[in-house]
Amino acid sequence: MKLYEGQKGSTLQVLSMDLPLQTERRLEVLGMLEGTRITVVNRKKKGAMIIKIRGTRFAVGENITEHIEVEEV
Amino acid sequence: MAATIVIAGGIAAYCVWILRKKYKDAKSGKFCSCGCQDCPSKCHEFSEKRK
Amino acid sequence: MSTKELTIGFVGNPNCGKTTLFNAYTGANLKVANWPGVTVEKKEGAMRFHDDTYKLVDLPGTYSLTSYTMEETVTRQYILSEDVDVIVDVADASALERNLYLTLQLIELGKPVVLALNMMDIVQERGMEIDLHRLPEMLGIPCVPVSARRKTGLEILIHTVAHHKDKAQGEKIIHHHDLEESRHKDVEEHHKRYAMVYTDDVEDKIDEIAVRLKAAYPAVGNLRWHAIKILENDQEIKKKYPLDFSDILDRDYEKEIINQKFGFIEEVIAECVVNRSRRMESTDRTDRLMTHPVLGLPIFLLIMAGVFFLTFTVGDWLKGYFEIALEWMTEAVTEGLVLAGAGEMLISLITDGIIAGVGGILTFLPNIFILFLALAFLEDSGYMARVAYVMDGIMGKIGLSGRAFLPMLLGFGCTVPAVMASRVLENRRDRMKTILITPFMSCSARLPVYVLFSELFFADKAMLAAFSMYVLGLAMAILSAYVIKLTDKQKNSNMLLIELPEYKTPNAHTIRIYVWEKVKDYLSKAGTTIFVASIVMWVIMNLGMHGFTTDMDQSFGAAIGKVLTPVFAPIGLGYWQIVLALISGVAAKEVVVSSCSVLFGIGNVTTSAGMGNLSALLESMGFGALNAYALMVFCLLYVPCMAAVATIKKETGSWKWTAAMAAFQILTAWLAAFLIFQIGSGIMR
Repeated sequence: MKLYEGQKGSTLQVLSMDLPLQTERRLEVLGMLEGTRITVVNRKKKGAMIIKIRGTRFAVGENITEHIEVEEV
Repeated sequence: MAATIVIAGGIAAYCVWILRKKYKDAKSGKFCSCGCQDCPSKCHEFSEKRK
Repeated sequence: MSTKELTIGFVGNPNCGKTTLFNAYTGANLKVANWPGVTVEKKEGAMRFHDDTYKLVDLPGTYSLTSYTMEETVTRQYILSEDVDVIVDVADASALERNLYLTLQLIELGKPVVLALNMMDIVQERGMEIDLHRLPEMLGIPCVPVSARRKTGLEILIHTVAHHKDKAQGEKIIHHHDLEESRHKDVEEHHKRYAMVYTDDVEDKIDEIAVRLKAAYPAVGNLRWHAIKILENDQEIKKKYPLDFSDILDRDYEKEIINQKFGFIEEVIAECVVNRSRRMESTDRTDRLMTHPVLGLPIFLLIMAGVFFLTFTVGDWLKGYFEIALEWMTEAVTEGLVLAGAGEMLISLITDGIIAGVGGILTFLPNIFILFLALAFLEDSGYMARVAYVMDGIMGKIGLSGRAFLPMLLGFGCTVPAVMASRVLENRRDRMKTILITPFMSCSARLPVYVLFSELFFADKAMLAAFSMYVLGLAMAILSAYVIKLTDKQKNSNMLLIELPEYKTPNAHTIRIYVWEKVKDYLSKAGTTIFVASIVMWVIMNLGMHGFTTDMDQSFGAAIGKVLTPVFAPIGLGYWQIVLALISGVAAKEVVVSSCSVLFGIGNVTTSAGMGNLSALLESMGFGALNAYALMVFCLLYVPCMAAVATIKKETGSWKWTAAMAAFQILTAWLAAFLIFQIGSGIMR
């Protein structure tokens, strides 16, 4: 499933990302890597989300969450 | 009359000072009182860089 | 005693309390913003410790040292330069896992690094513990717990820096990696010397690159770092050393290097951080409400309304006292001048010109003070960054990312820093667009105009009339961006990605600095720009073709104003005094108010007596509530002050753009005021 389908409060594991290199790198240095577990703190209908990566919250737009493949833990 | 001249002179001098200061500030790219850290105005830049 | 002063570079993630720490040492009063990524330039300060002088440099917050963004490149280049002797890596100890990535990168640079574990007070509050013996063992650098807010550990940190300055890295590091059995020939040496040791295949590649680099450039310092950067395909380093490594770089190693660093970080965290699970969840709970998908936006509007309500009520209550003081001062000065035997003209200049203008503006200080106090609270609590998320949906519809809303929010304070803050946007088109719409956000200088005219004409609905200006400004900004988006074929590729800090109780010191800065700015504006503008206004109002005149209708000012009156008539502002006030308002928006008091010859326009006089005067001219509203709308939308225009020129780098923007804003203002006035008078008829 894609990240934007993630439910509020769920914990997901990143499988792969399909984003422009620069965006992908930015996410990676924040600690969002393949295999990283992230928690969905809050979400909007369209897919913009607040997620928690390694204890830090980030707001991410739907054009990012649509391109991240995750699986439920 | 003397008082008038002194006071008017003082005001005029102050105005000239303000205008000169504003002109100089604008020249160096500074438009406000410049204290805000998040303001990327040129105020806190390195003195070396200004040269 | 050292002969050379030591330069200490402060590096850290955005929002890790780096600037607070910097301020604590240097006594500087730099503003601390509780949202990430606004600082773009480095700041410098000095301090003395024992007999030595230290130069402290605060660098922009960054998550890593790649060369993808401007800030990162700037930071990296500066740290690598000869200037920096010791790096202090400031880490938010309550979010150590994320902060350590930068730490590992800094250690790899090869310069002396000291890790400052900031926010230790929060760590304790949360019941977390950090193993301060194991952490330096694993990283191979000194780790000093500090709290910049509570000012603890500061001396120990600087002492550590002083002693660590000459220590080359490479002392024995005691740590173990969870790597599979390594066969690398230098594995023992590596583990002794480097905190971060990669897997064998990566280490092999590093060796290969290092050998080739050394052969071509024998003078390269810190071979290992350069080799890692080349392996990471770092464009800047590859450009500097244009060798062909294509046979070595057989796949994407950057990702692998990042992965392995985080793998090691996980080990460090597992060993050094105790009680991780007992984190405070209050931020999550607050966020559930504040960033609610449906309620988020109304909550934001309510908060802004609340800020505004405070500005109006509390501000006005305090303003009363300022007015009494001003009245008393006017009398005292007049008496003093008469006693000193000053001429009639001079007395008029001082009381009707300077005191009326500058004094009138000074009485609004309480409103400004309250406005910025409230904004400071919002910002320091950590709410502002959330607004980027809340507004992302709407901003997306107008072709901008939620991030662009942050500069716009700053615009409620002052357009100048807001325009500059648009630099955080990576895309030039977005920057231009944001710069174009930011001036529509009602800045604090326009507040006196609203306060004065809404109180004059709207009695008990004054607050509503004034608040509608803020909403209208926001609506106009969004509408203009939407129109641009319609004409723009390019697809919106904006990606919102912004860190949301933990909510916290606002810090008194931070707020004091923030508010004091704004108050100082306001006072200095009153003493300079408005001072001169008031005198100029008095002069053109009292000088005519036949010299000094007391009949303003015969003055130069009236002549200038009357030329433009026909243009302003359709929007209900066809009065030469108003036209003149609006023109002078380009110097600074407050000048509209100070000019009015000079123009209408009312010494104390803001007092109730003065207001009564002014409203009677205006009403006798046929200037009613609708005209006042049109005036407020025009003030909101027409060209921002000179300082803002100059800033726009600087940021866009084009006079053509700046002129086009100014023309667009005047046109928008005229049209909006025209619609309101014409429709309004149609209804009233």
